[in-house]
Amino acid sequence: MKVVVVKPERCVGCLQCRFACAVAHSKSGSPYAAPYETVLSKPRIHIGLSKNKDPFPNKCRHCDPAPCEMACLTKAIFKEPSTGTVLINPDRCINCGMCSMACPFGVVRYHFYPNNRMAAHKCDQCIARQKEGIAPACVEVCKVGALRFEDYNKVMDRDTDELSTLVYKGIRTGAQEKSSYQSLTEYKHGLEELRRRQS
Amino acid sequence: MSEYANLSICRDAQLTIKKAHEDGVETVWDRFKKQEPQCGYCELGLSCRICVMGPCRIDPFGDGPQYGVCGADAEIMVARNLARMIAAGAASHSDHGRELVEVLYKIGQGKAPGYSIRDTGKLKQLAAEYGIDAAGLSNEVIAQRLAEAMMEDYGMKKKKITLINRAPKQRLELWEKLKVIPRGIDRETSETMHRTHMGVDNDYVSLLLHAVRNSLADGYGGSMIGTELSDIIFGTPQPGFSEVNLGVLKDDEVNILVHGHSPVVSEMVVLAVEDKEMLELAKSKGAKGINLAGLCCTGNELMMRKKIPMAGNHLMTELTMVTGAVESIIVDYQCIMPSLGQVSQCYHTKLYSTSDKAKFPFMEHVEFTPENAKEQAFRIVRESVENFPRRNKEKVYIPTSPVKNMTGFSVESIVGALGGSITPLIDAIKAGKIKGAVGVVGCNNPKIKQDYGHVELIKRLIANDILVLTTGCVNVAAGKAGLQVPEAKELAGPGLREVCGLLNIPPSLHVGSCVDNSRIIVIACALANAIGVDIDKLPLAAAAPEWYSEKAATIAFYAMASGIFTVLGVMPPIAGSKKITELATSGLNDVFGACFAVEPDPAKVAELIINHITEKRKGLGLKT
Amino acid sequence: MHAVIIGLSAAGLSCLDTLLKFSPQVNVTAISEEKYSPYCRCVLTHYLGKVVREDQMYIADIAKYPENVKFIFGEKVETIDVNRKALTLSGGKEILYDKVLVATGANAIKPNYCDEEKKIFTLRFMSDAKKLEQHIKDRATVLGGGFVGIKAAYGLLERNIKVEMIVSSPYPLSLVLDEKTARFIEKEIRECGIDVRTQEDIAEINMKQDRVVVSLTSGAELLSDVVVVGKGVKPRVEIARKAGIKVDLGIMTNEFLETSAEDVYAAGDCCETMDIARRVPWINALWPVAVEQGYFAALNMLGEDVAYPGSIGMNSLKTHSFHLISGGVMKEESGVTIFERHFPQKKQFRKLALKDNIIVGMAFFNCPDDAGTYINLIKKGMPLNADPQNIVDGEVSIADLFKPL
Repeated sequence: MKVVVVKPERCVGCLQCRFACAVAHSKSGSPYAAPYETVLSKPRIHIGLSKNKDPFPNKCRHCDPAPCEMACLTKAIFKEPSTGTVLINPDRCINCGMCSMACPFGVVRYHFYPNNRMAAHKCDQCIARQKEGIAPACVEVCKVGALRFEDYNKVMDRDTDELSTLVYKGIRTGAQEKSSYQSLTEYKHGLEELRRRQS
Repeated sequence: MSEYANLSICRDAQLTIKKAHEDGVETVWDRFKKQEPQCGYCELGLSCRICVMGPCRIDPFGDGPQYGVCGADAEIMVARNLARMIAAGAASHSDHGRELVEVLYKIGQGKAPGYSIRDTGKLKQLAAEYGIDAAGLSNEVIAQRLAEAMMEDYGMKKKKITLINRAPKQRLELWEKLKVIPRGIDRETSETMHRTHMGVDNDYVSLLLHAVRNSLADGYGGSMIGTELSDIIFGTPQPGFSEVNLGVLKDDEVNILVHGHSPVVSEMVVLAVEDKEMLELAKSKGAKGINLAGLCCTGNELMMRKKIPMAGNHLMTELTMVTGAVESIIVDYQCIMPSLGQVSQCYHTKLYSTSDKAKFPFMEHVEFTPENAKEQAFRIVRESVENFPRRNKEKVYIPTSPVKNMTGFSVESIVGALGGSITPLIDAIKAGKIKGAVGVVGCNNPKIKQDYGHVELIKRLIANDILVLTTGCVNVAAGKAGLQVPEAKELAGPGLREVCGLLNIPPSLHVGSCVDNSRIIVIACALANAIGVDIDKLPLAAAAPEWYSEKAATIAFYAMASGIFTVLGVMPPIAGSKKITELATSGLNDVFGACFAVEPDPAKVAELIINHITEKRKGLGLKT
Repeated sequence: MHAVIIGLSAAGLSCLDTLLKFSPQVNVTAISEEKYSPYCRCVLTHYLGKVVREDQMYIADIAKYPENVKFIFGEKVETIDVNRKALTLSGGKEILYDKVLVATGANAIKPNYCDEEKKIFTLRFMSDAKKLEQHIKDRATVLGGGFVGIKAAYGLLERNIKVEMIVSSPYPLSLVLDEKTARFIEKEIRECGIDVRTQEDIAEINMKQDRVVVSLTSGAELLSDVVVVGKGVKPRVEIARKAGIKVDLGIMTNEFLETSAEDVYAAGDCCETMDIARRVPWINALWPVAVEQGYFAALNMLGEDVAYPGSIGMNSLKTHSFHLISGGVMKEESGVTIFERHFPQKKQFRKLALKDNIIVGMAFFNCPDDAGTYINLIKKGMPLNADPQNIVDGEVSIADLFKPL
């Protein structure tokens, strides 16, 4: 089954995924019209900030079993069997807040839906797009490969290959080439370290 | 309290940020936090919005797109973005100079009441530099001729701008070879905008060399003209004492602040606040007097010439209103945050914009021209005095007491303090009493704890016998830390301490506003010419530990191009291109004899600079 | 294998759904003593407030279950014979089982003044709500300052009637929160218009025409249409006790949710399991806990041998003006350090209780976004890898807790 895999070390904090998510879930589906709709579409992916100012993409993992589903009092949260997506039915949601209490990743929010009711709100893995055979919106726009839509086992296989490359490169060359983003990250970490040393 | 101590080293800032939060006011630090994480593409310089085939970005990890739609690679993208920053900075300083040229011209025509020629000697000296034969001409006519000649510097008529000739001849030869001698002040800015249009200059070296030319058109053009004409019209600064920090606000007087850059506005406000009738009006409203204080560069200008106190630097501007004691802020242009209007809604402060170029939300616009400036200034000051009764005395909170700050160190007054020539300074450098000189310049930036970068660097430099010259926001930082009074010599190394004691000057000298960085250039040129070497051989350096503005980028560029090693505390958006980063941090040494370094930790900056100065001393055969 | 489930609320239904998920053909008999289709009793307060319709409360569509599941509604299981592995229903019918789950839940504690004739109701079952709502006119009194009491009060407030809340402790939520936090909540409740009377109890209840006259221990008298009592729950353990199964606070279970009798499992409000924060056996009578226990019981009934990690007390109190999420133990005691930070401008606070660098309790007020992360860290019971003061200051994001390599 395909899942969205997050590589947080690649995230550059451009927040494009948030924008694309909001547009994909808007009524018009257009980046020009979406910000003007009466009920604003809200993004379902959140970028956390670490103490070292590193960005961290955080979205629903569609767990199995899902703690939010277990906590939901009205069975508004359910798992769609064919894709394994955990979905929220906004018409059954009573805004009790139990799901945000249960979620270990803090991905549940409360927003207005197009029917003007406030209800629990989280990533739906772009199930509508998946049914059309396209990847979730956030994955499609991420240009640095921080978000990928792949079969989970294949991802682990590839990570194993990457790890082996790193290990051997380390043993054989003793050096690792830094990307320019890494030099920026090091600079920002240095800045944070400086700030911490003075407090 | 610790979270406020994290934002600034200044007690007045910490206490007023706390009050701002209690009053429900959002500050620049709050808005910065909300912006995080900031986009990595933009921080690396790898995003481009120049045309609508885009917007484009280049993936620094190599997997995504490596070229913009037009085919620009990382080098071209970074170079174009950087060049536009330089152009914007140069344009700002140049407009500032232009305004002074217009005022000078109007003074010549007798159409600028309130303005006059205060330094006729400098007028004649500058006229001579511009090849104007002043024999038998009245000052008014000289003023007009000089203004006209400077207008030509701005345009297409000349092969090179005039004041570039102040540079040592070796430096001029190098610039000729590299084809970076600026031809016209506005021309270079315009050409940068042309070159960075899609499909024009697509060679990063070519782009950056032109950016250098653009920056020289600022440093030896717009900024230098700004400085010299301000001296001519308002007086060349002489040493004296003033005060800094929020404590300069008075709880029993009308407090008026000027913010922005141009003494064209602030000097007229000075006339109004000193007017006897205005003082009577203030007394009738219950105030003991009218207290004028400055913010940012216009504050620097008033402090240098008239010893008017400064309430704060860039990050302090919103916080002044939080004291509840400010009746009005009068602004012209540059570095004025659009948030000021929002903050003023919580307090009784009235805000006035004065320049057609610079309008802001919640500010009343009162247009200043050379003809009406005095009249408008009087009007605004009168309204400010009438605003005094609206001050809520119970809620006034002016934390801390003001700190003494010595100021007024123009090139002329430094030379005067040295006894009439720079030879004593050269001797002190040769003898090793003063190891070298560093310009610590620039702004504030919420990315760096306010004033930490400035103060810690200056302390370490002076402890190593290095004379420090400050401009812009750094003046306020150094002043608040007590580094700009003669007593601060105790913090200096033995050699510098001796010189300061002899001349009764501080180890950190306030040289002026940001356009007055041209004064540092003049000193560098003078030293180079006196010793007979190019500037890059001198034991000099520059540092901008907390810069934020495009103007600062331009200043950094013209400093480097003049041969001065420049350390930046905040990383510019160039890391996306390895080639440009290498060029900036070492390659430029081979071209201009100077390069850049990026280092936020002031302890490490001090090390870099001290090592650099030691190297340069060795190069000149001086003892280290 | 024939599995029998006694009780079809949170734990029973969860067990049924899990059995079918992992073993779709398994034979199950599900017995509920109520005549109603399975519903969520936590939503009863919303039902009272007319925010939710009756049909929205039902959480299972009985018709959609496969043929291998047999439902029995309206009958009570009287005895379990753990040797013969047989249950006897109230009508006399006998059912044999291979594995049985006791999910009988709990009863609302009824103090001696509880009398439906005098319009004093507990609010535990659908039948309670239906009886209650007939009497509501314009005044209601709620007895009890726990989560049920508060939720009932807010539910009644939705009907735009006057609501009074009587709390015997000095402040509401006294069993769950420390004084400072609880007083904060008390203030919020008052600001919503609910009249909160603390350190009060009922002395006497009388009827005056149609109204209920509530006499308090202080001597004050309240007039009301109905009184709703939320004074805690008592686990229904009679059937286990009669069968000789070990009972303490509740039906005792091992880590596989099995009772002292072989092949007899227990889940939900009727049984006791390990409380991760308190580190003693406890009953956390909460819906999500019961659902989770039903899930684990089902896996063990299927022979999977999955250990249940234990539970913590937790609750989410979301009203139109505030959202409180609390979990674990927030009481100040020896060995526990409390970290807190208030943001009065934003009407927010965060509190963490740590023991030996492990979070044992949390209370987040109006900052629900990452509250769940800390609830789950209590459940994890492992040392914290971030500075707790930074966490309550709001400076720590999930990025710091889940550090990538």
